[in-house]
Amino acid sequence: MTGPRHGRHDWLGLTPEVERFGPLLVDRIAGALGEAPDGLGEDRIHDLIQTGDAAAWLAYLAALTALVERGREAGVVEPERVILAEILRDQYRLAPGVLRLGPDDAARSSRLEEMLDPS
Amino acid sequence: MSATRRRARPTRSGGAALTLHAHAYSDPALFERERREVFARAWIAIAHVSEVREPGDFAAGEIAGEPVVAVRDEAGALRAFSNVCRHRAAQLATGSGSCGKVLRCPYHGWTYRLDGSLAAMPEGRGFGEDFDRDAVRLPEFQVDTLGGLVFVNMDPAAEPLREWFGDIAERFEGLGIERLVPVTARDWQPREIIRGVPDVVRSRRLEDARALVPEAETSRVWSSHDHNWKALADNYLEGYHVPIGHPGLLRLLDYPRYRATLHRRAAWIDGPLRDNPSRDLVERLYQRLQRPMPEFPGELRDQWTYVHLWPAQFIDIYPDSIDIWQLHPDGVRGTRTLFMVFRSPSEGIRDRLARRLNKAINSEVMDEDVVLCDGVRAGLASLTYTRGVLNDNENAVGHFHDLLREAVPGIDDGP
Repeated sequence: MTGPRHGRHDWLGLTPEVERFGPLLVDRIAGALGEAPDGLGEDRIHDLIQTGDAAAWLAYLAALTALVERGREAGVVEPERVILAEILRDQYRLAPGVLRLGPDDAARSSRLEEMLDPS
Repeated sequence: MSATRRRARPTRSGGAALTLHAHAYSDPALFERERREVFARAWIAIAHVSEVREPGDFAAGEIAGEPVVAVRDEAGALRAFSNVCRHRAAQLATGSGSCGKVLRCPYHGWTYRLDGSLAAMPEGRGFGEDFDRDAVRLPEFQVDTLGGLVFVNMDPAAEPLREWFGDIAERFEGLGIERLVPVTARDWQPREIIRGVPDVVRSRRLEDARALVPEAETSRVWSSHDHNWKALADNYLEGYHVPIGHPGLLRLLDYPRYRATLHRRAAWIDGPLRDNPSRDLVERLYQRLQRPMPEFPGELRDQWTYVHLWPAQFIDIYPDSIDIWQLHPDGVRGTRTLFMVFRSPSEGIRDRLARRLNKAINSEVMDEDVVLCDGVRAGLASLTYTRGVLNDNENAVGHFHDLLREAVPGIDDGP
């Protein structure tokens, strides 16, 4: 018996919610942190959808997760940060259905789950 | 006893048992009752144990039109769920294989953990803040294994599997089906493969190359028949028609010793094989080549054995292979049948040839049975026929009808 078979384009099914809400949330959180949202905004998402692959998408989710974690440490932008964390948590919950998560991705997923539900 | 209880119809005439009323084979209202009162309360085999051995393994099945799926969860427990996505009713899984850690709906991507809970759904914010995703779960069913098969029961109040089948359970376990392997067929799709080659060349990834070749899938062969499922079951359950309807089979089977033993929700039918060579070339070749699988129980080596498990599961036990034939009602005049075959893992060329010959012989028997059932279908609709009588050699039919009378009160009443 082999592992689950994922179509090489299946990961694209993950992108709509991030594409819809991500750029605005990234702008707000990065702005509050005094960072430039370079490489995390709308252009990056479009580029990923049109020319990227599953590994690049996971790398992008990792970068967004790091942004959320920096926002949490700084205690800024409460509603936007939580919303982005919820979207990312769902990305990591959905991802095993379309791609293989590595240990680092699983760790990010666990941190997001704990961040949103510390109990 | 309730004063309003329906008065029982006589089920015997003189010394002979009576068949069900002909109306039971054509009443549309009974179709839905049988789905709910017979099939949704019964233990139905949906897979071979080898298909759900490892965490993440799944096998999809059906119980009279009801999609179900068995999975081995991450803790190693066997579980069974409705195979229907709670979003828009798409079927979550098909065939068998490994789904990893989640079951993902192929329609909108709703993703379920292997405990049946909803992990997440794409664009989840679009369902509104008040949508309680934690309340979404796949309905869970009873599941257990017996004799190498995975059985599912949708009824939470149903007796445990072994008690349900009673004393035949132990005998069934002795068949050793768990040591056999499902016969599989690779579903090659050359056009799809050729179309995918450029992508693989571009990506240079082994995983993409592997994805081009479809996985081997258990040979679940579905067929459709335009007969009421009970008419097909009746036909399987008796050998009385063998000398008339299956002359070829009569050359192989020692008819005078052909007999059915009745169990609680089952019948065990012994069909000893004759020693003399058949005059037919295919039959004679089969007689010469067939030898029992190493896994085969010694006491059954000189016979073909047929087992009926209530309500509509029929196990053909041949020395060269064991198969399961299931009936799933599909309307009052339609039945979908599922056929799964299991062979020895050490099967050699001679054994494979014997199995093919067996298949040829029994395909002819099946064709003959379909013609006979066509005639019965017309006869059951006749204005002049209501019910018949059963010979001693049709005792398993009588038992089946009694079980139906018990499970579906009023089934025998007529219009």
